[in-house]
Amino acid sequence: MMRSSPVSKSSRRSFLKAGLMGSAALSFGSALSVISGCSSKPVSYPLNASDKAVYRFLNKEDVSMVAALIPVIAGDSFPAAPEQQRSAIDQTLPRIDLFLYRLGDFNRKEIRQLFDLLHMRVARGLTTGVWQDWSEAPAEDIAAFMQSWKHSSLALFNNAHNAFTDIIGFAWYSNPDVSGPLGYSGVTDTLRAALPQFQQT
Amino acid sequence: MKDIFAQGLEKGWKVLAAHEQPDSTTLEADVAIVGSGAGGATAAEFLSKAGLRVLLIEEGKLRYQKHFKMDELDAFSSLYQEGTARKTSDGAIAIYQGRTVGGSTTVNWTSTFRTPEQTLAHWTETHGLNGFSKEQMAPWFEERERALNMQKWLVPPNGNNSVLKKGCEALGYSAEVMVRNVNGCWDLGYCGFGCPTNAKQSMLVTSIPSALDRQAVLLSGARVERFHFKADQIQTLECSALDADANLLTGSKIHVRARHFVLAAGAIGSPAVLLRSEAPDPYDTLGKRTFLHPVNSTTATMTEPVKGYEGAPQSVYSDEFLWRDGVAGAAGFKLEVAPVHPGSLAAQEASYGNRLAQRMRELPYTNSMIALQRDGFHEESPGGQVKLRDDGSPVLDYELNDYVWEGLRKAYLTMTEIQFAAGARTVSPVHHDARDYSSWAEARSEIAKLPMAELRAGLFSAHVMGGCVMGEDPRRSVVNSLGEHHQLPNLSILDGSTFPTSIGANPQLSIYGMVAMQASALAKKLT
Repeated sequence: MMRSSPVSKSSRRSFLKAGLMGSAALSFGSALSVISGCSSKPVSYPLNASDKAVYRFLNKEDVSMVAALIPVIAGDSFPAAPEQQRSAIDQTLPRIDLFLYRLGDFNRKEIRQLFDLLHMRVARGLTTGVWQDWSEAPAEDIAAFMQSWKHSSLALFNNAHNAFTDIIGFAWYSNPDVSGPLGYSGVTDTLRAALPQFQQT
Repeated sequence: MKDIFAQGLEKGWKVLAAHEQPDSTTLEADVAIVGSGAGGATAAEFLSKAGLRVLLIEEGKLRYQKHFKMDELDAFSSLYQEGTARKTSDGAIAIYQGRTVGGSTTVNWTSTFRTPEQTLAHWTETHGLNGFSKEQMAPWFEERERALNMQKWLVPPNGNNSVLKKGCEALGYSAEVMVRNVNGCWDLGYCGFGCPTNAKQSMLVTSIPSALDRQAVLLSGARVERFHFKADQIQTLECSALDADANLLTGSKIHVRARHFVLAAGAIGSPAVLLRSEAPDPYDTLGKRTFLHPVNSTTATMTEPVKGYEGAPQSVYSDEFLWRDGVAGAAGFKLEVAPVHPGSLAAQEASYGNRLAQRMRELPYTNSMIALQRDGFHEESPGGQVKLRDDGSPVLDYELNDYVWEGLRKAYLTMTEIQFAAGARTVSPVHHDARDYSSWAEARSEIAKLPMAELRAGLFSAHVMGGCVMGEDPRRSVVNSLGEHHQLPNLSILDGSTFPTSIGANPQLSIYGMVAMQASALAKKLT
């Protein structure tokens, strides 16, 4: 079943070559596994003291990184008051966790490799220009690396940029607390009363 | 309100979840069908009506009305292949395919077209198909149209669709009203999340219940790994069980024995099963000629709210540019709109931060127009190739060449012109290097300069077709016109993977009609 395919081995080699040439057209995971050479295990731990939910994909380092990225993706749709900011991040992390958990084996592995790479200080600094811990990184620095990934000539970084903006943007704006004020109808009271799937059982 | 699936379960339908079966369970049937979407479910209906014992196998989880809560994140992550993250191997084209009981029919937007006569004629003349003339196919389409209540949508189009209608009318382009497969539709606009009212006549509430009423067995959460052969006969089918969420492997296996096997796992899944099985492929045709209807889009901000998230998601289309340069000429495209739900809009936009926040504040004013490129009709449109990754999962290589890019640029221009003609305040192509343009003149000169390149243009596909293509010449095809595998006598492939080109229209009825014809022939052969 798990056959090792000569095609993908050679494409890894050609990525390194193409990467040096400044034009790669590969998904980032197989390349990052070459660069990072390791991958950590997912860790489940309580979301916060009052919540029994556990993350099924995100580990502690991921949480710190994703929490730093959310306000950058959200821009001025991110609340200004500190207590609302905390609650917005607490609401969004489990949504991102669920989305990542359900991506399927291959994508889960790819994202894991990307995240692990970005947890290694030197690799992170070289690829993003962010050298400090994620929790201490200024939003401008994060926005700057996102912009440079977007316009990179390496497909690797374009794909990573797209993964971050797609997943975090999707999880942020699909939250009824965020989309409701924008005018999105969602589940109205009428529908909630009329449809059996919304009835308490 | 009656939930047809819940009622069926109560009256004793045989519905199994793979994770509840003991390891190494063996299931037996007359016919085992891989995939419960448009192809597999239609085959299940016709074969079980002929008295055959059918086993319908689905990788996704069984989800039905009680799960359909109009929640974008839950729906997208649970009802689609790879949690909506499926992409071509270079990441350039996002691919949306269903992965749930009912397949893509559970999440499609109900848009219904017969296979265009140009496509049927091209298949007959260029690909040598038998039985696919417009006249020969008409009774099969008619039968399915009746069975699935496919009728012209008489409710006025929502604001989003009205933009396409208005813009086309202003420019003298054709704009027609769609046929939809709904019964008692509430016009809510959440078709892509699983129909919350059971109005959509998807496989989940039509052909699958019909088969289950006739003693068919449904097995969900089972990933089909491979066939095992004895000479040229498939002996067994090997499945891996997935957990209750149909997400992670449990480590258990299920084996399936049957007289005949039907592959209907879609245009990526069907070739993948055969590739993993190392099935005979003497002329190297397997996985080739995979088509996508590559889609690009433009986002307009209108002066009045259009609420693209409310109402039938697609009800108007334009075929003005579909066949204009001849069937085998320059790339042609079909024009439609896409529903505008907040998570999807955010994910499709190439921006983030304040720029994205500004776009999202205009959500009710946002019109999203899409163009579906008709691929596979020209020698410079050979389609992509399904391959296996190291872990056995499938991935599609699809090269975007100048032929396609020319069609995509033309589509960016055409859609922008239509949106301005309908009164758009600004229009922005979904493209990393584009911005909001405030007039057609400005847009026209700026779009002409946009690089047509992978990962710059935002592209997606909801219609994967081909990969196990039909033909009477085994050197150029995988199956014959009845879907019978050229080398394996007890295998039929009955889904959109057998289309020798793309359809040139949303493909659900093309699959239903074709499979109704092919499955009827198979039922005669097996009974």
